[in-house]
Amino acid sequence: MRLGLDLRGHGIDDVVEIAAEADQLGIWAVLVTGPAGAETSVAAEIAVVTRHVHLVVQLDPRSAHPQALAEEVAILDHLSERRAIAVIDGDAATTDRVRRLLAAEIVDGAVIAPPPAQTAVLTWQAGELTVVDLGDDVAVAKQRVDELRDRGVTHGFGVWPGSTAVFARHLATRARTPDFPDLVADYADTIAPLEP
Amino acid sequence: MKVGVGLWCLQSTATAPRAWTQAYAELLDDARLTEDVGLHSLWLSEHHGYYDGYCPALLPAAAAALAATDTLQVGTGVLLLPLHDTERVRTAAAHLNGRFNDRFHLGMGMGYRPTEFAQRGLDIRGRVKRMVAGLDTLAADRPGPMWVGVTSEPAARRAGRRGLGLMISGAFSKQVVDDLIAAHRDAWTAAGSPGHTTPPVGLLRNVWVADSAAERRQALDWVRSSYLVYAGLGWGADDTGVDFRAAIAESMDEVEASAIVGSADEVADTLAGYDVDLVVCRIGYDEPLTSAVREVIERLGRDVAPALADAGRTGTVL
Repeated sequence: MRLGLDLRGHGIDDVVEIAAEADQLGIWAVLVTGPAGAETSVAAEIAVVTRHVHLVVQLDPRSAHPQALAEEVAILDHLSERRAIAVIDGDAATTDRVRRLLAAEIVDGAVIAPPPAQTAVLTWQAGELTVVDLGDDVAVAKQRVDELRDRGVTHGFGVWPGSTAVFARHLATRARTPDFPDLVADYADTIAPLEP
Repeated sequence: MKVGVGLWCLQSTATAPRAWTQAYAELLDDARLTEDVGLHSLWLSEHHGYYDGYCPALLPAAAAALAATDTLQVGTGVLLLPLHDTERVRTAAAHLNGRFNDRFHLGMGMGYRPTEFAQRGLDIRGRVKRMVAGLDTLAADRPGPMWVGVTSEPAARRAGRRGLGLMISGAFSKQVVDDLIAAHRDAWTAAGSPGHTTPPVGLLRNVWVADSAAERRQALDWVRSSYLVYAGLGWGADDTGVDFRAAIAESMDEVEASAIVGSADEVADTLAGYDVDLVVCRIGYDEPLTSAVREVIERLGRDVAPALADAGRTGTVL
């Protein structure tokens, strides 16, 4: 399972700072949003200060045409060099239209140009997301990650108030495979202690 | 007057194909250079569903350019307001200005391509109504510096009545420019000076700094061929009053005649004759190598902008 960080509950300053840390620590993705209309502006700012982390941007489609949403995501995909993933906080039909536009399909006479940098952009409906509150205790968080992983979830996001380094060492790692040896993370705390 | 550069359209054209990802990476480098050489601003431009990928989403592009810089002003020249939900635009503009110390300039225009409206499920015949309603909303809230791109006196008056900045597009003669400025100012005064601060006037001009005769000829050829982009965009529009297909050669001549190409001193002398707060030097042509564009940015910052510091209008805060 890939485990990303859900940053939707953070203020913008924290979002950018945590996303930059996540990028440095090899975390798969950060889930972000913004005021309706500014969602991709938030993600674009993060794109400038990161190089590797995927930018999962949740968009409010209620007042925007699907073409406009798809265009914004496509530009984010170019700015981030193929790291954009879209989440549509709306109905299945709207999500499907955005998904098809991002796959360079002509939808109801509309097309987006440029197409995204990726051949197609993963586009999820918000209800499809797997998000788990990890709490603030590492031991509890480990159990919750294990539960997700063992359920066969492929992509999940954790709400984690602790340090990004702890998330990277103790949580993102164990999400990857079912046989994660706790020893390596625990011993890493000894040989390369994390800042409190 | 202040000096900015434009228009970054982020295209991959038939004349000069490239990867869009490269174009967006270069945007950030160009923004940093524009800031480093002390120029005022960098301006982006919007169209939709055109084969060359002319940038359709200016707000994330502007956010990235702002994030890559510390003091540079970044503007939309122009965002096609009737194609967008005004509230989303307002929110994004307020976000960018809150986040980036009021460095985002929202320039707005109406759009003229029927296909762009049709693809949004809109009728182009409603564009004026949508534009006016959007300007009223934004003028009441003022989420940061705002400009209206104009090509006619009614549009200039529309901006003036609301206390919004005037951005005069492309290839007009000096007389037309002066008439548009007068219409804007008169409308602002007649409306009771909304906003209480004189709304700024900006001028977009095709510019290139070149010394030798060969370089100047080359630059003028780039200016001429850049018209092809707009001819291509316009072929689908039947209500602009221009027969783009029939008028290519004539229009290229007009565009060339209005271009300001010469030494730094010559460029500065010509621009100094305009009564504007800001000139946006349009250098984002299709053909020049990236290195050539960057050399001109450096020369505009080093040689032209200082010479214009006391020219035109100087009292307006931009």
